[in-house]
Amino acid sequence: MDRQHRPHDRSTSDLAGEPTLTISSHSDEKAAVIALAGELDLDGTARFQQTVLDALATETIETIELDLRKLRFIDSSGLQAILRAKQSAHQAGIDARVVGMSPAVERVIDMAGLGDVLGPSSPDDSS
Amino acid sequence: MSPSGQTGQTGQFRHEAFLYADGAEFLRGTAAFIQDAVAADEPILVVLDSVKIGALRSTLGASADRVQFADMGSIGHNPARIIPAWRSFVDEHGRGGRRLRGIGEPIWPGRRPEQLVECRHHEALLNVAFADTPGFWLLCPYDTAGLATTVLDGAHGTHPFIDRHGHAGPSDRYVGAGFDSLLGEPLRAPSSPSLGVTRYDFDVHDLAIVRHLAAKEAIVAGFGGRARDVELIVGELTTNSVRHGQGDRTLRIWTETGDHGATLLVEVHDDGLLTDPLVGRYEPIGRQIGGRGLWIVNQVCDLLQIRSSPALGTTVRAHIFAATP
Repeated sequence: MDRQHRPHDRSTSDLAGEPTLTISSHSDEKAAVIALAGELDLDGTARFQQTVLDALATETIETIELDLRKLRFIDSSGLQAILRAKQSAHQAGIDARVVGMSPAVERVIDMAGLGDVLGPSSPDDSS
Repeated sequence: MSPSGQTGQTGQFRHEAFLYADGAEFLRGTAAFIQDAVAADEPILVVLDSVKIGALRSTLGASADRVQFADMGSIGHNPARIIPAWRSFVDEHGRGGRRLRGIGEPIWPGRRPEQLVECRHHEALLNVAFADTPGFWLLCPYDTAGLATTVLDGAHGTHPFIDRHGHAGPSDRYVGAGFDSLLGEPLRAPSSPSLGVTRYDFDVHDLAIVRHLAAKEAIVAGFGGRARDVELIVGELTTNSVRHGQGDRTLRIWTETGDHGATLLVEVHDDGLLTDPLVGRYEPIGRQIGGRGLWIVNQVCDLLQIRSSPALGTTVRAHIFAATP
């Protein structure tokens, strides 16, 4: 009865579509902006974390802005990565905050009980 | 007098099934239980369907203002969301060992068979969740006229106390927390899936692909309105399996049609072992990093079945109900 697939079968891989996570980051002297587009899941977290670490390595940086407006999917692994990014920044004395999010991301953040921590008007980690 | 004819002075969590034969007995028993709480200045939360809440409000009169009411149809639609509601009530009002009461009726005639199975698990899990909450007395009404004997037998197994016709006493069939056996109960095989069962083996690099495939399956199966939910559920279940499971990992998707309409089922299996029976029922707090995956799934799906044993490995099956026309 079962129709069995390896996800990489030719018959199914054409359904899989576009690359899932795009990261763009730029910084001036004091602020870095990291914009995520697509989907942030476990597979993408390492690349995101590396981007955050690179930004933190810029010595003059005072803030990191995480722009999630073009992120159409996030799950609990993605949320963990965002929380870890805020934590690493905080430990480096840098304020990292989410500056915008798509409705889909906002929904998951609310369900995960993180609206106060990651929401638009969330306090920074010094609280 | 409360229906039990005694107060819960034991200083332990008192989980009591109240077996009622008709509406009049229901109202008498629950109203007396509530009035005892009000008289003793004990906070009480009553979680019932809206019709019963309305009837109780008029029976109680002014006392109703001292009672918190909540709609079981909404909180308990997915029974895994009920324990967090009790937890938050206990955390808010039970400081310093203050005595608390609750009435909760998660099981009513007309629940789907698998909702009844998971409600029994829920009732068993309450004994685990509040084992260390002395002074909390939870009364669970059971409609003996409307419920099947097997369901009522379940109540005897999951409640240390049984109250029947005003007489309360220990259940002679209480099986203790008994959770190992519940968690090890195998799930039934897919029943006459209309489009067959689609099966994918996956590992960490396939997470996005299987998510997308599952969302497309949902659309094809007529669950397009829930495709985003399915994507999230599959994402969480497969990721959980990749992070915590072991051995071969399989995702299966199928639909079933029964008396209650169509259901889309999404299931992830691996050879790992889950040991915390309350997983998915802890409300995440503050900045805590982990532990949100199955919580999120429970907020999105209509019913979640978690099974795990050394012999069978771990299976997590999410049900998505078609919207009622």
